[in-house]
Amino acid sequence: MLAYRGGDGGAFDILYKRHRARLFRFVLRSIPSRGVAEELYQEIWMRVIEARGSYAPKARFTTWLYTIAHNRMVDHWRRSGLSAVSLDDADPPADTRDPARQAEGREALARFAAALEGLPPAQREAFLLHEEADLSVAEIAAATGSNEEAAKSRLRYALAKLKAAADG
Amino acid sequence: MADERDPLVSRRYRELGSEEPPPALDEAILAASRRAAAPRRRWYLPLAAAAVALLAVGIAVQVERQGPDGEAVTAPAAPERRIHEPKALKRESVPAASDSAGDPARQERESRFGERAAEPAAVPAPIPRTAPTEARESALADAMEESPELWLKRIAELRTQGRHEEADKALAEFRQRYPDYKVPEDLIRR
Repeated sequence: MLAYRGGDGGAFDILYKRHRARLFRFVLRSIPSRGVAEELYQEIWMRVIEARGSYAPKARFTTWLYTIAHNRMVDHWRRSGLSAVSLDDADPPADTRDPARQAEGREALARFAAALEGLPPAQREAFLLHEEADLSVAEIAAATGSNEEAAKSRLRYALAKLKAAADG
Repeated sequence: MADERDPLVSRRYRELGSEEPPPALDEAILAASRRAAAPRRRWYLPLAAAAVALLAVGIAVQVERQGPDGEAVTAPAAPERRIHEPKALKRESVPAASDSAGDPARQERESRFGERAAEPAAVPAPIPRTAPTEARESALADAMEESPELWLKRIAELRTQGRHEEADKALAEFRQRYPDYKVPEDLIRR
């Protein structure tokens, strides 16, 4: 990122290649609509490009990237009518769920997918940041602007619900 | 912090698939990153050239309107006289070629410009000159190469001496060189 900030356009290509798939899945599984997910994914990278001048290597680039992703996600949920404080408990709005995605795959997998999709946004985000982005609990706390206890608690709740769905 | 992963949950999660962004999305993002990394000078050069051309036309129209107003007529006549001066007198003749040739304080000031311009440490990249043979403009060019502050000081002197046409021209070049520099109002107005 520092090389890109210094004008090396090729450095961004390397960064992008490294993080594109994981970030895309993180967004895709956080947002019920694929179209909106693609839009948000692009917005996140645009923010990365815009913010290159202010980037300082205080933490791993991955943490910084997912902090931007988290902020975009919070904006999205707020626009959808969920306040930041309700993210721990609220279910996603029912009318935004994509039935086609729920119907995909085998029954167990569909059940797991439904359980993931049904998690409160903050718990799902903690799980995806851990499982997909490979962030530690401390990094999840940093990326989401919370404390480690809250991050750990969200992750554990998410894992318990997903494990129940996976055991079927 | 220990890994909180559950192997069964992780396996189920991986079975959901490994979707990737569509190629068109990749392309759009990479293109934006390349545009952002490209040098920014490209867009403003034509803009600066257009601004200079516009300023030149404005000055020409104003000079024409003023007609035989003393100041406006004598200013363009000065370069004609200087064209015939020997090139060897280029730097030394700067004060002599000016309208206030008998002013020793001014001669000393302009001679100082020449000396400072010779300091290599303070000289930035050379500026292309449109009329290098003109002795009076040589002193101005020296100031231009010195620093923006000195350049503006020189323009202020031209204004004080009533050499507005030269001041306008120098100001236009200054703005081309330093488009973001805030020029004091009194240097813009005649």
